[in-house]
Amino acid sequence: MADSDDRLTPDQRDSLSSLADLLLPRTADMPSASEIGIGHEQLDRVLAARPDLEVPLKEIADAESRTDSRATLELLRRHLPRQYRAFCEYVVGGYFMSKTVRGLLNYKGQEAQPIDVYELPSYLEDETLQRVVDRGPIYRTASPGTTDPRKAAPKSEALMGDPSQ
Amino acid sequence: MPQAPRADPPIAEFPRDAEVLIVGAGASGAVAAKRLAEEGFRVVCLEQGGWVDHGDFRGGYPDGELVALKEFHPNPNVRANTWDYPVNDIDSEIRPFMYNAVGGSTILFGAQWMRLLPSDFRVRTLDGIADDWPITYEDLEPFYRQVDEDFGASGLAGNPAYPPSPEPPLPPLPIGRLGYRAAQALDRLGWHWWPGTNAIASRPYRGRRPCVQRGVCETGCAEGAKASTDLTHWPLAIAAGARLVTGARVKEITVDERGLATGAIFADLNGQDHRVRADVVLLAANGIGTPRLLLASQSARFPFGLANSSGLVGRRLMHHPYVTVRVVVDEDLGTNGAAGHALTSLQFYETDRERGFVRGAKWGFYPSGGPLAIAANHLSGSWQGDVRDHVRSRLGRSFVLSITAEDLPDESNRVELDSEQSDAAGIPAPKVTYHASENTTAVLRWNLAMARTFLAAVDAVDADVSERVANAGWHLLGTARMGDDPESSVVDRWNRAHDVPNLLIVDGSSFVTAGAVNPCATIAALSLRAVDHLNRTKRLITVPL
Repeated sequence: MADSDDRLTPDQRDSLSSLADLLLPRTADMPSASEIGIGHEQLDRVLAARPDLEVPLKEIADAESRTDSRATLELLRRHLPRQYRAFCEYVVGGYFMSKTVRGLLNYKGQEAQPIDVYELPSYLEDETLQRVVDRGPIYRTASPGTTDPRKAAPKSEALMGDPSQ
Repeated sequence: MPQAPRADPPIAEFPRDAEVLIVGAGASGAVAAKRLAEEGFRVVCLEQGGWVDHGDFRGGYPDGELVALKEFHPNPNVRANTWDYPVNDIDSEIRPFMYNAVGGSTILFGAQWMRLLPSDFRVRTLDGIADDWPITYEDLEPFYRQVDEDFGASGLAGNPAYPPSPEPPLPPLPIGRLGYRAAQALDRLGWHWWPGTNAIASRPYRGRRPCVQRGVCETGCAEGAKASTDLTHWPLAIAAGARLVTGARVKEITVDERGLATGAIFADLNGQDHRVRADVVLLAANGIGTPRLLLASQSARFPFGLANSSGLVGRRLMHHPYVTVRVVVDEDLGTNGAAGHALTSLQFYETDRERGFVRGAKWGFYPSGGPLAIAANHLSGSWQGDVRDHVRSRLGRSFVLSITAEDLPDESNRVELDSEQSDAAGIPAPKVTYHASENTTAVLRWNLAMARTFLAAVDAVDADVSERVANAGWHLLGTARMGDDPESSVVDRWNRAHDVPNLLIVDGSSFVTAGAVNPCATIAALSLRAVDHLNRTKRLITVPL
């Protein structure tokens, strides 16, 4: 993997930061994109995960350097949807990968939540599911000689015995 | 990052001869290979992808969602790996999905494990539209039972939307607070619901670890709890003697002067062609890959493609068009994680003509996913408002209702060979033409109206309703349909090609109608039924000598 410094120049990184701040400026309770390092450490993390974004981001950074940020963003949005999507994936992806941002959202990532094998499902305990059973079959059948189960609708068996047993 | 497939075995050791040659190592190919190898057949399978290292799955890491938008995207055009093939989908309202690897699309599937309903096999008889299958639910039921065991389905028997069936081998996954809240609302409405049946281990099962509910099933299960067939079937198939060749792109099914299949020509990773001779050939390359290969296998005897005297190879492509409703509630339900579909409702599955259409829809309830799943519209460019506000209001506080419509067969929805694009081996790419029917659109529209009733019952504080989802081509069905009449079908009731007695098509191509449920359990059951019959009748099959 190439060193991060080889990927984009400091000027290109600054250009991307400026553009990203247009999408994610500082608010009362959230940092701006540049404040969480969108042009620096977050950019490196994004490119480590998505090396395919390097070329479009360089092109976008170079375009930004030739004009102002708002015009560049408007150009992307209106006329270059693929590049705009790449830019959005970088900015939004990089932003929500930030530990600072995740902390502010109280989001710990897609954490493991091992199953409690001893937990009795609430829907069995309170008989919510039993009421579905009690309403009877709702499927149709077309096999010769069979009765539509919705019309026969026998009273269903209880889903389970006494949970205390 | 996924690695390019290696030539495995090395080229010099490629098998050159088989009793049964299988093309494709996904769900149907794996089921067939395992069963046939265990019955003593000399099985060879050709797979264009490679083995996936489950350690490459990133779902549990901060960059997992970002990686999933490229390397583990289900759209081969997005991944654009050298071992994928491009799909020309410019004339398709739905972009086809697939994954090319040992395990096929089970690597990325959601593992929702549902049977078709009895009425799905009798659409013409019951509703006067489309076609009946030549088999019934009862014909397939024993095979559903077996694949439930083999894949390790987690669920609960007694669902009144189905005929009685035994308990799945594993208890259901927890439905979580989201499922319980949705269930309470459905209960208040008096509507059907049931805990989801998933091919995800809720307990340790046959060497698989149980699910830890990260909610990343569709980007690859690093736990190995999800039943991808690289875990559930291939180790057993290989132990029983099956030989699996990776990095092998099949270019053509070969035939002899009698019109019998004799094997296949495939290209290795270096582009060099090889030939495998076989007594019987099974196609298991999915509802796009299989017709593509049949259409590419042209000869003097089969000038319009193999097994295509009906003209139906590639025709009648069916998807499962769907809409989604992100349901936002007033409490933290912890919904960024969990697994599979928490619960389903088949309240509106069966036909009720008073609704103005035939057939129906499946409702499924899912966790919200992480920030990028919630910010999907922002990523696609429809940036409205501050994405942070949007994510904050929904992360952990929302869940997704997905409404999946039954798609009816239409011969104008089709897979053809593209005249310009090809894959790395020079094999023509498939060109897909697909437009949803008025009936399908009506199913979705009516169900969305019912979803608004649900939103009120669940006390939703907000909701994001999607248009019909374009990135929805998970289920590729119907392009080599089953039937008794060779003039109106491609394969018979045992998945044998009418035109080529020793050629079987065992993937989703053989579906006559699509139903509205996730098809993997049915694909697996049909494949098992087909090879069970092949095993019982092997001496009666005409094969090349």
